[in-house]
Amino acid sequence: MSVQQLVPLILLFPLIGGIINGIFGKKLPKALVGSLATLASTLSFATALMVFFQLNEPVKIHLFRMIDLEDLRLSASLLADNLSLWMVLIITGIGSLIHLFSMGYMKHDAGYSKFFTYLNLFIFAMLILVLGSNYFMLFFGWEGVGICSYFLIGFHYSDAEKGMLNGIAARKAFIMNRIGDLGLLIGLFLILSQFGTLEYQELANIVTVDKILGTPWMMFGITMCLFIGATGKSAQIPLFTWLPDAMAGPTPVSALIHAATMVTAGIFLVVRSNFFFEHAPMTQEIMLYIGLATSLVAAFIAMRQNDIKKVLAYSTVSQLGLLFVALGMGAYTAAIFHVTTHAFFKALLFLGSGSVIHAMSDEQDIRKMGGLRKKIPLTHLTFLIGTLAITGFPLLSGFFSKDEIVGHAFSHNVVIYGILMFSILLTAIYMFRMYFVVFFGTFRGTHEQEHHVHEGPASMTLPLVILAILSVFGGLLNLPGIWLKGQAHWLSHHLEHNTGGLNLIEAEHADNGITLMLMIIAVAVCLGALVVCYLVYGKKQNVPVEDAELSGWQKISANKLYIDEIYNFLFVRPTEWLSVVGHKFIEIMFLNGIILGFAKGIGASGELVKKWQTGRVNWYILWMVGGIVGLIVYYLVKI
Amino acid sequence: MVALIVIFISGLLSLFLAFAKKPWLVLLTASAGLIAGGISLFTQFYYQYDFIHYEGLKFDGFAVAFGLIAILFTLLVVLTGYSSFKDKPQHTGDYIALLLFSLTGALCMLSFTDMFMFFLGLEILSIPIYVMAGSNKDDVRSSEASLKYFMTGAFATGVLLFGIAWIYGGTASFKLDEITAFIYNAEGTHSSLIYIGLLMILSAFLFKVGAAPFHFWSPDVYDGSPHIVTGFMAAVVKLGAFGAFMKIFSVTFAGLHDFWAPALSVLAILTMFVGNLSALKQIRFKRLLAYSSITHVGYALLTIIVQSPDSAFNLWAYIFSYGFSTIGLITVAIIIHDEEDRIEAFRGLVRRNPFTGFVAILGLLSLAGVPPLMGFFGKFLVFSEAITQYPWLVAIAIINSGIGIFYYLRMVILVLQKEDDDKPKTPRHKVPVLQMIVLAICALALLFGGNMLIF
Amino acid sequence: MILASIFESGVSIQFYIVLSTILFAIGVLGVLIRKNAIIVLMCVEIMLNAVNLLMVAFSTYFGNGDAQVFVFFIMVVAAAEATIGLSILVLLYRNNRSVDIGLFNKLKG
Repeated sequence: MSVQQLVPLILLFPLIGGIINGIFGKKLPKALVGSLATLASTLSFATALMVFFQLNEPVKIHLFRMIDLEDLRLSASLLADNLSLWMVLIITGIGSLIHLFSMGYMKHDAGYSKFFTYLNLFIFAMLILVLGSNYFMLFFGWEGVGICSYFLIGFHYSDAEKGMLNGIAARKAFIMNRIGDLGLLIGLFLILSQFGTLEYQELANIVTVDKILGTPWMMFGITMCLFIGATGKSAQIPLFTWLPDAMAGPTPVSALIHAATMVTAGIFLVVRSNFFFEHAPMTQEIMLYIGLATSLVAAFIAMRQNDIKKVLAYSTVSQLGLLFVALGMGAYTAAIFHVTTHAFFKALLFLGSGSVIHAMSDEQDIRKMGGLRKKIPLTHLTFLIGTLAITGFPLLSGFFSKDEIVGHAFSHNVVIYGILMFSILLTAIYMFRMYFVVFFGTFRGTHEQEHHVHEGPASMTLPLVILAILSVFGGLLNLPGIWLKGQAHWLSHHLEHNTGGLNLIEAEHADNGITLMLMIIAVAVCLGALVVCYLVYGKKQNVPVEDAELSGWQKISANKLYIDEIYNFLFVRPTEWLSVVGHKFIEIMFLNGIILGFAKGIGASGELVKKWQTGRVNWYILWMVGGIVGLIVYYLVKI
Repeated sequence: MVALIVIFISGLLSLFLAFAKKPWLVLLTASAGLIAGGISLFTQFYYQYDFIHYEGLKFDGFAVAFGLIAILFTLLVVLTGYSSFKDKPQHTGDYIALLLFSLTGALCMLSFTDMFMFFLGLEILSIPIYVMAGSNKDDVRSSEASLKYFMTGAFATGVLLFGIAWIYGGTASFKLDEITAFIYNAEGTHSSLIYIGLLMILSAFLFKVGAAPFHFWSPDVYDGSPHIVTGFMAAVVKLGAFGAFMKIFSVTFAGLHDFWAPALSVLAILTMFVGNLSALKQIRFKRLLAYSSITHVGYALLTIIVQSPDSAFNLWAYIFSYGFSTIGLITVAIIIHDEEDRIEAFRGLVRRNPFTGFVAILGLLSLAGVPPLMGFFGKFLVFSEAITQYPWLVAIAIINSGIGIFYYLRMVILVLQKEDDDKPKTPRHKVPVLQMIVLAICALALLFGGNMLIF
Repeated sequence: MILASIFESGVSIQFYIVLSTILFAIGVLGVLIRKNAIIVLMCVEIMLNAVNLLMVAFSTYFGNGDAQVFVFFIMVVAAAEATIGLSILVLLYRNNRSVDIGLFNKLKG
C-alpha cells in the first residue's frame, strides 16, 4: 500500500480501539480490553514503520474539508514527513510498550476499560497533533491530548482518601493549560490574519522562499503566542506547576503523557514552526532564558523531593527546560534527538518507578523504601540504566543527546554553558540520591509491605527491558562527528531533509578538540555526582529527613520554592476577591435587577398573549378580519 | 406530473386495499407510491428533460426541490404514524390515503402557473387535513380542532378567492406570468383593484402559514389533532403554503415589493413575538410546538421579505431543517404516548430510552438553532441573507431566538432530568422499528444535514 | 336623477364590485356574529357567492371566459367543503348534542 493509504491507518487503529473499548469495554473481559488497546497501538506502530521505510519526500494526505468559507479554508489533512513520522514512531512505539505495561499495572483497577479507552484516545489525539498538516489540526490534537490528560490525571477521582486531591490536580492542569492554549489560539489567529493560511508547507514557502514576512513585531507576536502555548503544554516557567501535580494520575500515564509524549508537544510545535522562530530572534532569546531558568529551578526543587514520582516529574520539567534552551539556540535537531532519548529513559524511569510502587503496595515515599536492589533485581537493573542515561553516563543515550545541546550552548555563550552544566550536575545528584535511597540500605517500610515486595508480571518487565535497551543504544541515532566521520548525525541529517523549513538550519559542528573537552567535563560531572551520592546515600545509608527538620536551601527546595504559594497570593486570592466583589455588587445589585426584570417582563407578556387565545373561533376570525382591515388601512395610508 | 399521478393512484389504492384489513399492505403501497413519486420527480429534475408545461402546472427546479422534501416528509410521517394507525385497521387506508391526497395538493401548490391550479392545490391540500384533524372521533378535542380549522380555513378560502377576483379585475388574467408582466408594464399606475386583491391574497397566505394575527387557529388545531396530523401540518402543509407564498410574492408580485414588504415585515415581527411569548408558559407539548412553529414562520417570512436570488434556497433549507426537527419531536411524542400530551411526560426520557431522548434533544436544539445542528444552518442562511437589507429585522429575529432558547432548553433539561423519586417510575417505552428508523433518519439529518446545506 | 343616469349608461362594473363587496361583508359579518355552525357555514357560502358574482361580472366586462370556468371550480370546491363541513358538524353534534360554536372552547391558552 502506498503512503497515502497507510498514513490514515496509523490514526485509525487507536481510534477504533478507543471507540470499541469506550462502548463495549465494561462488558468485555479485562484481558481482551487490554490486548485490544495494546494491539491498536502496536498496529499503529507497525504501520508507521512501514511508512517510515517507504517515505522519500513529504506526503500530504487530504482527508476532508472542515471549514470552507471565502477567506477561511481549513482542511483536515495529514502531512507525513520525516519529522512527523519520527514523532509518530516515538509516540506509538513507547505508547505500545506503556500499554503493555499498563495491562499488568492496572490489573486490579476498577476503571480498567476506561483507562485503556483514554490511553487509546490519547494516542489518537497525539497522532493528530503531530501528523496534521496545519496548525488547525495541531490545535485539535493539542486539545485532544489535553483532555485525555485531564481525564487521566483525575483518573482516581472517586478514591476515598485522595480522590479530591486528584480532581484538584486535574483542575490545576486544566487551568494552566488553558492559559497556554489561549496563547496558542491567539497565535493561530495572528498567523491566519497575517498569512491567510495555516498549512505548514504553504507558510514555510511564504516565509523561507518568498520571504514575505510581517513586521518584526508581528513575527514576535506570533512566535511569542506559540511559545506561550508551548510553555503551557511543556510545563515551562511560569506555567510548570501543573506537571508535578499531574503525578496524581496512574504511573503509566505519567510515563506516557507527562514524560514521553504530550509534554514534548510544545517542543514539536516550536520545531514545526522553526521558520517563524528563525525570524524572531527576540523570542528565541526569551525562550532560551526561560528554558534555562526552568531547568535550573526544577532541578533545584527536585533536590529535596521525597516522592519518587515527584522527583521524576521535576526532572522532566528540568529536561524540558533543557530542550527549550536548545530550541532557543536554534538547535532543532538536537532538541528532537534529546526528545527521543528522553522519551526512552524517562519512560523507563517512570515505568521503573511504577514497578517499584507496584512492588511496594502503592507506597511512593522513597524514605519508606530502601534495599530494594536484591528484592526486585530486574527493576533495579533497568532503573539503574535509566538513571545512568539521564545523568549522562558515558556512552549511554543521554550522554550523547545532552552533549549535543551542551555543545551548542558552549559555542553560543559560555555563561549559559556554565549554568546548564550546573543544572546537569544537580540532575545527576538528585537522580543518584533517589536511586541509592530506593535501592540501597535497609528496607524501611512496614513488615507487610516487605513481605509483599515482588517483581511484576512479564507484561510489566518486558517493556522495562526493551526501554532499557533503547536507553543504552539510543545515542547511536545521532553520534557526534568525533566518533564516526561519515555516518555521524544520522538523525540530524534525516530530519534536515524534507522537513518544512528545517533545512535552513545549519547544524553547528564543533571541532573535535572542543567536543572532546566538553565530553570530559560532562563525564566528570556525572561521575563526580555518582561518587558523592554513593558515599552519602549508598555507603553511609543516610535517609532523607522529615521536611520539618530541613533548613536553609533544603527547606526552600522541599517546599518547591513556594511557587504555589506565590501564585496563590498573586493570582488566586485577587481573583477570588474580585469575584466576591463582582458577585455582591455587580451581579446581585445591578445585573440581576436588569435581567430578572427583563425576564419578568417577558413572562408577564407571555401571560397576556396567552389570554388572547380565548378558544372561541369567532374571536379568531375577528382577529383575522382585524388583520385584513389593518392591511387595507395600511394601503389607504400608503397610497 | 408523473409524480402527481403516481402518488394519487397509490393513495387510491391504499384506500381500497384497506378493505383487505391488512395494514402492512397499505403501508407498503403508500411507501412504494411515495418513493416512486419521489424518484420520478427526481429523474425529471436530474435529466432535465424539459420541465413540461402542463397548462397550469410546471415542474421547474423550485417545484422539484420543494416537492422532493414534501414527499420525504410525508413518507416519514406515514412511517411514524403507521403504528398508531394500526390500532384501527379498518381506517388505516383512509388516513394514509388522505395524507397522500393532501400531498398531491401540496405538489400542485408548488408547481402551479395560474390561479386555477393554485386554488385547487390549496383546497386539495386543506380539505383532507380538515378531515384528518378530526380523525380521533371519540375525542372532543379532536373534533373541536377539526371544526376550528374548517371554519377559519373556509373563511380564509373566501378571502383568497375574493383577492383572486380583484386581481383578475385588475389584470384581466389568472396566469401568473401575465399578471407579472402586467404589473411590470403598468409601473406605478395600478388600479386599487390590484392592491386590495394582493392584500387579500396576502391575508390568506398568512393564515395558511400561521402568521400573526392570522395564527390563532394553529395552536388549537395542532393541540387537538392527532400527533401524526400535527406533524404533517407542521412539515408538509407549511411547506406547500410557503412554497406557493414564495412563488406568488417573490415572483408574481415582485414588482410591488415596495408596497407589501413593509407590511409583511411588521407582521413577521409580530409573529415572532406572539409565537415566542405564548410558548413560554405552555404545558402541553403539541401546543408548544405550535407556538414554536409560529415563531419559525416569523423567521421564514424573512426569506420572502428579502428579495434575492438565494431566497428560494434559503427558504428550502429552512423548511428542510425545521421539518426534520418537528417530525423527530412528533415521533418522540408518539413514542411517549401521554394521554394528556404534557411536556412533563418528557421528564427523564433520556434515562428510559437513551436514543429517543437523544433525538428529542437534537430536535429541540435544532429548533433553538444551536450549531452544528441543521436548524442553526437554516437560520444562519436566512439571517445572513437578510442582514444587509433589513438589519433591524434580523436584530429582532435574533432577540427572539434568544427568548426561544428559554423554552427549548427548559425541555432539554426536562429530557435530561431524573424522574421524581416519590412518583412511580415510568416504564421504558417500546419503540416500533419503523419509528426507530424515522428517529435515526431525523438524527442523521439534524446532525449532518447542516453541512450539506452550506455547500 | 342619479338612477336615471345609471340606467342610461347601463350597469357599469363598479356596481358589481360594490355589490359583491357588500355581499362579502355580509358573509363575513355572519361568520363573526352567528353562533349556529350551520348558519356560519351558510355565511361562508355567501362569501363564496360574492366572489362568484364578481368573477362573472369581470368575465363579462373583459370579454373572456376564464373567470366563468373558475366559477365552476369554486362551486365544485364549495360543494366539497360544505360536505366536509357538514360531516364535521355531525361529528360534533354526536359528541356535544349541539352545534353552537360558542360551546367549543376546550382548546385555548
